[in-house]
Amino acid sequence: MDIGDRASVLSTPWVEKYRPVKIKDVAHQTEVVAALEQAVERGGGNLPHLLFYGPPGTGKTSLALALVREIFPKEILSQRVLELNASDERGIRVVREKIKGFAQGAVGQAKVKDGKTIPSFKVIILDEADAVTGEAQTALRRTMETYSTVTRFVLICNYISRIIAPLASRCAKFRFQPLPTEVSFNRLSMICKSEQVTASEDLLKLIITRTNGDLRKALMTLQSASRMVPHGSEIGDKEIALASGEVPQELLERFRSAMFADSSFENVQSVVDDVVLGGYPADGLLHQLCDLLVEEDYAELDELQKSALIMKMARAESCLADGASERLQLLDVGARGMYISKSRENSSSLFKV
Amino acid sequence: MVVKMEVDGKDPKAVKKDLMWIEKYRPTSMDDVLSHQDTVLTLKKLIDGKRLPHLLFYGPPGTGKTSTILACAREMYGKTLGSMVLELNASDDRGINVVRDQIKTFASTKRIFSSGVKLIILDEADAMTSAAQMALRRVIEKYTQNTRFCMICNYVNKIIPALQSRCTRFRFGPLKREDLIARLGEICKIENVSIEDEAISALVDLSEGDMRKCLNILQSTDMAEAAKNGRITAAAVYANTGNPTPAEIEECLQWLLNDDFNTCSRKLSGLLEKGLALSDIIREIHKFMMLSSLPTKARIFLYKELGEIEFMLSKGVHEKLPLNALVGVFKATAMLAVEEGQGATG
Ligand SMILES: Nc1ncnc2c1ncn2[C@@H]1O[C@H](COP(=O)(O)OP(=O)(O)OP(=O)(O)O)[C@@H](O)[C@H]1O
Ligand SMILES: Nc1ncnc2c1ncn2[C@@H]1O[C@H](COP(=O)(O)OP(=O)(O)OP(=O)(O)O)[C@@H](O)[C@H]1O
Ligand SMILES: [Mg+2]
Ligand SMILES: [Mg+2]
Repeated sequence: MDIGDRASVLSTPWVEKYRPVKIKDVAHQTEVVAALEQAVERGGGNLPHLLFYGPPGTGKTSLALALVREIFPKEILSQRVLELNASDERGIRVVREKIKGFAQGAVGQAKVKDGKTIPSFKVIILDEADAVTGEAQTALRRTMETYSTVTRFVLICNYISRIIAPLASRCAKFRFQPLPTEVSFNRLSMICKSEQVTASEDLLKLIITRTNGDLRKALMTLQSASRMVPHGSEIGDKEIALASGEVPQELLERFRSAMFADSSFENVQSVVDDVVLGGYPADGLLHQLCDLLVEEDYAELDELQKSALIMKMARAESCLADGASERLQLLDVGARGMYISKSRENSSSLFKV
Repeated sequence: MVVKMEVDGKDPKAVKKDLMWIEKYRPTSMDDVLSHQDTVLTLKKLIDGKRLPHLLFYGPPGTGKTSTILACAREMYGKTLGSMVLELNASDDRGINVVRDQIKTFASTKRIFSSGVKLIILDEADAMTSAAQMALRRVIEKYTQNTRFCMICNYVNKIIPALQSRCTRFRFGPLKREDLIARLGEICKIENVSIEDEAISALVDLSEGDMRKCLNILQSTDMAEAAKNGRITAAAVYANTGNPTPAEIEECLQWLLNDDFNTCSRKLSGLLEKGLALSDIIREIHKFMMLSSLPTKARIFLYKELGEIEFMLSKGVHEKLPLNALVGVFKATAMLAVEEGQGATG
């Protein structure tokens, strides 16, 4: 194997390499898998428009791709399927030019080939549809109806609230569920075996908790961790911590004691600096802190103090999602934490109406 | 009322086999339109008297606006429909000039074979820019001699007042429960779907009066259940849509009101792992809490915070913090309620 060859092997992302191929290979999404298998069996004819939604890395894109591969033979796949995702433009022009043009075209009668019915429609997969502008979504309303005999839409998104109601109403909606630990675990062990990666059971479970049920993230973490150790030797906690970008335990501990034990704003400030300068994600820190607070025997704060702090943290995360500064949000949480930990007797002052 | 969707004389199954249900069961005549008898009656009178005004249909999705105007057009024109009706929607380029030209060409073409006014349907009118709407005011007046306009939209406040005042407005509200139930029953019979009464009523609960949503949920549940060959149950409908059942919500409330913080947090996380969405749970909890007897201040606090958590979730953050914040909100609400009660008695 020469070097060029080896490089290309190494760089195939496992996320692509181990994408489920058949509809039934998509794990755990039983309702939608059953529905689509049924539709394919019946020849696909009366398939409704579909809307797949749910958390990242749960198989939405994989299932949409598997569906079109099962209804159309390879040769005509490119004529029958238009796939648009976030890398394409998402404005109204795409709807008027690309989507409408493709949707209009006729495709002729349903045919039977090799004992399978090829339905008489095309499919437009609109991946990451929650990023499509409101104006463009509005313009899709009538297009989805007018060409429904010749074109079916598959909309895919994480946040259904970003799809306007009239579009959601036009689709059969399927929510993709977060993958339970054992499903992700089986997938990861299978991949470890086929890639000859050595990792203990506990380690795989650690990856899964750290990635919050997002199998794509878990796969990427595993792959990058596997590159950090020499081929064949075992992956350890250290590699996972590095690969998943989690905040080191030591920093978390310092943040906690700065707020509750030392009650020192300087200390809070210095941890926050270390977190931000170290390039650790602020929302990651908030999540890990939350896990700590709801641990079985955690007793540093009483119930109301805990409530007040977590409500504050949730608000900070939401501000971060809007693009707020990581440093300011963490300082805000830190300062609030100090105040809360001091007001054990007087907790009603923590909640304003 | 019976569902009669077939094209005369032909076997409906053969013609419509390859349609998704929402199109297969689109009302074809005005009499098939459910729940809007008054509107239909008024429209019929206006058509018969040849006094049709410009129209504005508005209301939430899946309530029959597009179906009604298409049925009207069929009633008015029969076979000449193609040459007498122009439909423009937001997927067409509706810059002012394009609209003006298209409408002009259409409206000023001589009518050779038929008499009566022509119809221009502007679907998705709420997507027109206000500049285009301004321009439309004049256009409407100019061709009012031989052309009627029908504007359709979901959001009536996006139509400029000057246009609204040129039209007779019809609001299409959510469909009535009993109409939905009756029509769903007929459709299930035609499609050979075996379904329990409770499941139909679950469908109707989930649809919020949107007939199209009903049909989509019904079809997808049927697809998922067909392999099992059983009757469709209410549980299957909820499972298929990923919605929490009323029993699950009641259970959630028990936890939120009675368990300590960490236990409650763990139980709720378990529920999410089963596949429920936190935003659905919060929406349903909200409905339940409306019926509770919380004192005023605590109630205000609760609604404000629930609203805020729902808003956070709509931004797409991970569910972990909002979930624990929800637990916190209930702890705080309980404390405020007790305090308020003492204030009142003491
Ligand atoms: N249900 C599943 N069964 C099997 N593999 C899965 C499943 N979900 C995710 N995966 C794995 O995770 C990878 C990512 O999945 P996919 O691209 O389908 O996620 P997605 O739901 O579209 O996520 P996003 O919302 O972030 O786009 C796939 O390559 C696959 O290996
Ligand atoms: N009043 C009704 N009576 C019977 N069926 C209806 C009615 N309203 C909606 N439907 C069903 O829902 C489908 C969609 O209806 P229609 O296109 O008329 O809705 P709309 O009000 O135009 O919605 P939108 O605002 O989303 O365009 C129809 O094909 C029909 O199956
Ligand atoms: Mg995807
Ligand atoms: Mg419509």
